[in-house]
Amino acid sequence: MCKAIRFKLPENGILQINGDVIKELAMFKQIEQESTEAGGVILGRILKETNHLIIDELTIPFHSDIRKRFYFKRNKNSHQKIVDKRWSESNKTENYFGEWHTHAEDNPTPSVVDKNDWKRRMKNDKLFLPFLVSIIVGRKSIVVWITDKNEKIIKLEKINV
Amino acid sequence: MNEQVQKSFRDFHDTIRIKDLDREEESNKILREKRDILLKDIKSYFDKKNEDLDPVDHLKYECFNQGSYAMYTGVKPLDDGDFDIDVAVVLNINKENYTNPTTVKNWIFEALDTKVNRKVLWKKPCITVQYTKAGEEKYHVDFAIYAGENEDEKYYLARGKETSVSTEKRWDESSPKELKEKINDKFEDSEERKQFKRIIKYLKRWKEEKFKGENSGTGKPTGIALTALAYSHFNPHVKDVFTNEIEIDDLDALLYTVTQIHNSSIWSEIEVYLPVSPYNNLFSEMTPKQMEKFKEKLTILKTKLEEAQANIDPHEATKLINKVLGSDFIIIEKEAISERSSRPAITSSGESA
Repeated sequence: MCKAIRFKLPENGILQINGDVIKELAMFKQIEQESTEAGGVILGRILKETNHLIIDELTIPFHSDIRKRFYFKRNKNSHQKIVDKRWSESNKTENYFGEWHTHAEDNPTPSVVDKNDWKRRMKNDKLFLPFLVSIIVGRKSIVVWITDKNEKIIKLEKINV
Repeated sequence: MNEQVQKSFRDFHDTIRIKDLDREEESNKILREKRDILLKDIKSYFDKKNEDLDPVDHLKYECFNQGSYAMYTGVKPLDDGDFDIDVAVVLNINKENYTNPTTVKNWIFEALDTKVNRKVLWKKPCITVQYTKAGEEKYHVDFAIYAGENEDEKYYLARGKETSVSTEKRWDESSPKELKEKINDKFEDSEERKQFKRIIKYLKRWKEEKFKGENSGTGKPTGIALTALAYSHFNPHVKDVFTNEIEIDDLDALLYTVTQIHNSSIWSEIEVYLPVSPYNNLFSEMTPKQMEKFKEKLTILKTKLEEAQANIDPHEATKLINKVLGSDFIIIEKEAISERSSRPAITSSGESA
């Protein structure tokens, strides 16, 4: 099992990506010459006592998604169905946190397309958290950003223990 | 420190501990009664034997609980195993007068081996009464027999079976009372003492989980070896260091103990000496290969506990602990500790590059 990774949230609190999720994300790393971008939605919970955020589930690409070397487009319905299903199965605790996708670079940075998509979501989607969480899986690292309600994009700092 | 995780440790402890026959009611009534019948049988045996003896030669003895049961460090066995109650029988004899200790052990054997439905067995360090009646909790009572009036004022344990070779029939120096006192009196503060005992029980259950189906011959450490390790490495974690308020943290305490044991043996084998005479190394029987295996398992325990300690999700933390301490350590349900939301988020399709 992989270890969980924790990040500091800008206001307060911690965002944790659980070990199983890290393991699954790592499987989509674009190591091979021909491997294409992958992506999906990330699901998580808010802890009652501490208000910390836990990412413990994700969706992986569907056939209806478009996957290219430097492009990923995810279909709305298939991923939304899972969000709805998991929400009701989990007694309304598991909900949508944001998006993940891969990049064919070691330490990923968001492209203009990425940033515009995140801002658009923040404006148009009906989100669960007051911000959008975005994960990009590079070849050597996993990086997390949040987009806040002012459409400001903030890279999260990893907590080292 | 997380209160939810601490509560799981509490529940786990309640599940695995062996309750005191004399202090706790109901569930132990049958066991207590059975033990008391055995003690009565021993008494009538010596009463009868003394009838034929000169009053100055009368055999007197004292019985007391010893072992994990007396130190409140007993852990329920997994699945099929039976648990033991250890009773010390100290006789007013000098070992020099009984060159063959099995003569003395045989008294207890004879005293107990009187009923058809009672299975009494010769074991090297004791005489055992085994109960396996269907529908009842499986357990056995081990009677360790000591010569208690020797020139050096020490106790000697009668060892060997009647059929053993002569080198195995011997009197071994032993300090059952001092051991019990050392373990029970190590901490004056009751919270510290209770945590010390809990940590011993966690280690013992871990051992049962990780050495399933094995015995000390194949490298499973003994309960007393783990007890002695905790005795020398445990440090209480029951108070907030700054405010000095009670803050009991079994995960920290267990991790600290395991880390200390681990660090003490990075460049050497694990050694630990019985804290009372004869001060023998309790790991001396392990082969180098068995020692290697034990250290590997200990490292895994340490790693998992470290991950659990760092993990902010009580569900994940308890899942990690459950992996090392076993299924009696209950995993906290996600739903119980997470906020509910009014509706699932609605998201549009999206693109990334």
